[in-house]
Amino acid sequence: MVEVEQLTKKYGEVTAIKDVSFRVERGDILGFLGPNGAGKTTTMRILTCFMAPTSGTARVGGYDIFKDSLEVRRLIGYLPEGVPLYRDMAVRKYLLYCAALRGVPRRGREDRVDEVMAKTHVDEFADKIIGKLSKGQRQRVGLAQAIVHDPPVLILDEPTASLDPAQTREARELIRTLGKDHTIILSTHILAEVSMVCNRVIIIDGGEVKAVDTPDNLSRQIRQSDVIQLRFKRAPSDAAQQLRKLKGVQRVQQQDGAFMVETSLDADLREELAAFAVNKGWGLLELRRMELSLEDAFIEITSGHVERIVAASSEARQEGGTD
Amino acid sequence: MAVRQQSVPVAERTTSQVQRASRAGLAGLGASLQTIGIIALKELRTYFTSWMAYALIAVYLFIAGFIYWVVVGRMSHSLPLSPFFAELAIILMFIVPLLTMRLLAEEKSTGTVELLLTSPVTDWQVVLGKFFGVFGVHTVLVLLTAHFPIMLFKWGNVDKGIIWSSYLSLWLTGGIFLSIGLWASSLTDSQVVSGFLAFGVLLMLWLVNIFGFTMQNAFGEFCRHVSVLSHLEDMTSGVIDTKDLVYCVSVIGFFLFWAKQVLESRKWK
Ligand SMILES: Nc1ncnc2c1ncn2[C@@H]1O[C@H](COP(=O)(O)OP(=O)(O)O)[C@@H](O)[C@H]1O
Ligand SMILES: [Mg+2]
Repeated sequence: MVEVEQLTKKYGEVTAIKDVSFRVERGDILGFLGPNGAGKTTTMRILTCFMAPTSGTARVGGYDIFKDSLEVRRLIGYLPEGVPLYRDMAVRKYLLYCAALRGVPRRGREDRVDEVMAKTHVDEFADKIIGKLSKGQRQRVGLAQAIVHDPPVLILDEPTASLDPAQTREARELIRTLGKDHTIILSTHILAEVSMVCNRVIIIDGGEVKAVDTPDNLSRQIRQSDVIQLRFKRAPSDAAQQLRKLKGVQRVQQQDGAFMVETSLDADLREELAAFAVNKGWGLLELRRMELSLEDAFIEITSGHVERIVAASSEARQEGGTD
Repeated sequence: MAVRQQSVPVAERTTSQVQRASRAGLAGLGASLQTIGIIALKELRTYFTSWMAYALIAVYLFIAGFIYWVVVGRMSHSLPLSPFFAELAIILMFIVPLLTMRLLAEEKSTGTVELLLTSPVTDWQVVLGKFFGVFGVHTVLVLLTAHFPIMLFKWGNVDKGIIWSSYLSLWLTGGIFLSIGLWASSLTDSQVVSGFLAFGVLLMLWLVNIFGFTMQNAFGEFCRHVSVLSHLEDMTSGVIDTKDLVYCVSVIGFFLFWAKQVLESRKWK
């Protein structure tokens, strides 16, 4: 459905992406995973014909992004990063405008917009001004405009960024539903998101594709152990040594006053650790299982060794605090 | 091509092919105009859903009324109207940047331009749609001042030809100003910069025109030559010359083309 061949884009001296090639098959939900500045937005802007690449080419539905740019754009629904919408328009009016602009015939346009509003659950605030909506609501309007002309391909740039956890969950569910009828490319910097939503992943960093795989394979490659973070009120100086002696514990690191306990995968030691700390009377303040941050994934994938530096970032923080 | 086709035996098929081709061409043109219309209508609506258009119209009408009263009302009703129209054109110089500054600059600063330009529309359609949208606002503005000369029709004796041609001139002057404003708006993503740039250029046009008819030296001669507005002033004398019309449309086309080039240049940055 989408074929990308050796795309390179330079902004003056800066090379934003370099030799990026990949294919997306019909029905795929492809996750484009990479940290900020990796080149995700650049790639998407090229695919949507907003910008031209410095070299390389791409086809969408068999149409070339240069030669048949209008055809390509007819096939694509796009949600740009940050969900830019006309803030002074009401939701329904805006969607009618988008539908008209993208060639939805006048007859049936209203019905189509109603249908899309129901699908993305924006019908509850159909007549509200977009500028007055919450972030989550605006995100849904963004998705609604992307699908209003029923395009076979959806390109979504960080569709869950800067939403709160509840809104994020809703947005992901919606995207999964849309995945039944559309081929989707979505970008994200959250590893967990990819495994929740996508069936294929491309890891991109520094403008280059580092890995292409299914989420399962990828996390198997990355996760060889679990990490549990513990905090105590009164930890003795040899607490780390004591923890290390417990069965199933592979290693213990101290970081900012917290103990990072690495255990073998699937051996959930949270209960044992809690019991141990309570027995010793260390005053357990916190106990939680850490998710891998993407940066860790990169270090592993790009450097290839198993040693992991556990950043003190948890899934919860990644979901909530990106703005 | 057409000549060769005539020598083909089945002439009927040829003509039907030609017809079909031209019909397809017409359909394409129709769709293209439709897209321009959709964008223009959206722009027009945007102006009239904010207080902006109303405030500008109110200010415009107030000043126009005041000038009318000073220039025309106090004098005999048979005096030429050209000072009145000249003053209206000067007000346009202030109002146009306020109207045009948001056209593209706002879309660029909020990022909505990305959705607009990734829709199946050409950059030309976007520029023309924006232009005709704001030109619509300007047209409303011009029509709303129509009651002043109508009063003259009733109570004074004025040459109707002069009034019509002056109106045409005012309408087209606005068109030129708006194309300059749209061009300025394509250059930046700051509405303030775009507004001041447009005003600066309009001010220069006006100064060139003034120098043109006040200075009697070579510089004055030069100014008379390049002055855009003098073509429009010719019209207020009651004679509509197609040369002036063509000139006017060319100037508008020039700035719109430039704006479209600027818009397109995003691709290669
Ligand atoms: N308009 C621009 N001008 C110059 N450099 C840019 C521009 N847009 C992006 N870049 C650079 O290109 C690289 C990739 O950016 P981007 O595609 O936005 O990454 P991502 O979306 O993955 O965060 C970054 O180093 C960024 O600084
Ligand atoms: Mg980005």
